Amino acid sequence: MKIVQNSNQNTIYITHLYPQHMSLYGDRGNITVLAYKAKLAGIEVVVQNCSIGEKIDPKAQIILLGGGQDNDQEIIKSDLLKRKNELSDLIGNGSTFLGICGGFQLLGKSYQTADGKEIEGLNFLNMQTINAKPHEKRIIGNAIAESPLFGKLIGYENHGGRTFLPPELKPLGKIVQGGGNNGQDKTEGILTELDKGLILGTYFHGFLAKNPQVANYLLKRFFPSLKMPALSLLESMNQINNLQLNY
Amino acid sequence: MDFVNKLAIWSAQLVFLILSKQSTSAPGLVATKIAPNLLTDILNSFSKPPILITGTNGKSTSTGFLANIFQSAGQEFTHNRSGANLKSGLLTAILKEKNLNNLEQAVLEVDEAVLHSLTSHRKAKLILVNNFFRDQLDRFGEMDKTISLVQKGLNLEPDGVLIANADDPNVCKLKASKIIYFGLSPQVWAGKNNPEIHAAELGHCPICATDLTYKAQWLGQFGDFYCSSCNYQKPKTDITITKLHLQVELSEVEVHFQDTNQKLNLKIPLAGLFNVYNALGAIASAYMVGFSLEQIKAGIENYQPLFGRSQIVNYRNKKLKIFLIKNPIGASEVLRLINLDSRAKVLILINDNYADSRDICWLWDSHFEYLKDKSPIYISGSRASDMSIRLTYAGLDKINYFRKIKTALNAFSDENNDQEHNLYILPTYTALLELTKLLKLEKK
Repeated sequence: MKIVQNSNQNTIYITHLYPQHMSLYGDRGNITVLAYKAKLAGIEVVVQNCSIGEKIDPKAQIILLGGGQDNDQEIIKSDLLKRKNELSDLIGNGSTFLGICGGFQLLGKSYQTADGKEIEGLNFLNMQTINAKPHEKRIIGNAIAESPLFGKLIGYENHGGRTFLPPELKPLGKIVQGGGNNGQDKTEGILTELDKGLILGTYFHGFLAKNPQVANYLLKRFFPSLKMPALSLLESMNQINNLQLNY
Repeated sequence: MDFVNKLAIWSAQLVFLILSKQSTSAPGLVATKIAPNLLTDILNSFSKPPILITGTNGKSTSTGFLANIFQSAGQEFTHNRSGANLKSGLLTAILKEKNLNNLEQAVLEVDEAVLHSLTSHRKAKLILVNNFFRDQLDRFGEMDKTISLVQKGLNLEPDGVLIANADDPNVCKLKASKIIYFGLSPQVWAGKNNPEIHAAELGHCPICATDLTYKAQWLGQFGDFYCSSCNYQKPKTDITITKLHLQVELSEVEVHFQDTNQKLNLKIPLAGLFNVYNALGAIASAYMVGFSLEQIKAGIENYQPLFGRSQIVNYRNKKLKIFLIKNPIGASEVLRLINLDSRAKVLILINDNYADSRDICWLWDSHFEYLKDKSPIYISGSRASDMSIRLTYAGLDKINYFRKIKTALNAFSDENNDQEHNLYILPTYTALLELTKLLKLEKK
């Protein structure tokens, strides 16, 4: 793990991009999890809800862009593209970008909606999302992936788009159950370590709640000496989660 | 009626005999296999066109209120009281009627995706649309699609009417040749803004997609909204709540009827603002059908709740209050109600079977933080583990987890004395069915 020089001492700054449009399927829960864990470890938390036209907090360390319906993604796209430089500067300086579902798709070159419209993406990653072919179904359901860095990852996926990574990009994990990025090549998500920053994309909703080790990792990048207090109940519930459900 | 239809009806009756009179879908399913047009043929045989209720939340309760008004006024009609609202469920409910030949009209709660397949064969006299919230997105894909499905299904008789919730910007997008709007007078909510509304629930203009501005907002995206860019706004209401007094077990309201400038004071025998909307939709519909204010008042005030919809049941000498939860807005409203009750103890049952929605991410959009001082919370169901994670992050440190719903129910009722506590159970749909069996209660 790369440790980011943290000038913010004992505070973590989290920005939630477009919570009004891009927070389908409880994606805001990822913020809740980060904030809860940070507070438990004695770190102060500042959460910014950043809407269309508002300036992103220049101190933002973790930036979340969640999923939205097709028309929501169209609503935010021009505002998002205006932020391209701002966002890439932040990531270049060490911030983490967490994109879930639609927020993951928008990290690539382009994204195609269900009715075939092409939406330009941030182009941070050389990947593309295309629409499902007529005979292909939406990818819906509980999913599991195996990640070299995080071990077993679980989540709930619901997407029509198919994302394809070029060979030079590493997926977050390998699909064990479910559809993942495209229902074909068994890849799930993306994990790209830059010189300083980090880009993490996934189709898994409920991501940090179900995979607390990832939340710990994201916080530890900024607070390496952080002793994460054991969330005994949580972690054991996650065990039950893994054992009992039809995953 | 032709031979195929008769054969289908006989088969359905046979299925009723084999299974039980309580079947809610199977007989209709069998009959449809034999005579695919049976449902629409029966609807066409009624002398009056149907009255249909659709939307995301509260369909069953609204339909229940409306049917009770019909009943109190002595009408001959059929009604799917089981809440099964897909085609097979509608047909089953109708075939269950003993006096099918004497019926004049159907009052049906209809799934959003089914509406069109009914009204394309028999136009409706009246369609009530309650609201469009996020619910079961895994089934419908995305909400905009649900709204256009309903729009497509708005086939009304020439003198037919759409009864629409004026406070929901999603519903106001619907078009019809005649629309009667119902809603809350903004004055009623003055000074009571709901601070817990999540950003994701804020509405945006369904016409031009700009973020909506609210002079006041009270329940999810419901409120006194307008769009600063295209002037889309809350329409003038025809039937309006002008006074509102929410209490723990019921609500007192004053309803104003614009066309005749009459006022009606009545008690809604269910708790919570969402039930005020459910009742108001039924009141507006009944008024447009032509019932008198006295008939409407009687039908609302003597209404017996459906099982699991704000119902109070007795179990081992304890009073249990049962609220079905299935999506963020509905759940948050129930939680807000419980938050007001300092003596509340809570059992939450979360399943993820198909009828519940396989997706339980909605737990994260529901405001479980309202339960902060209600520890310990009792939980069970196939997704109790997700519930427990959600509650932990909501700041609750003590959670009593039970693998089986039965053990959870017994521990919950044994460990809490209802002289000191008010016992609330919050199940998802299939957990409610299991609970029903455990409580040995017949569905009404």
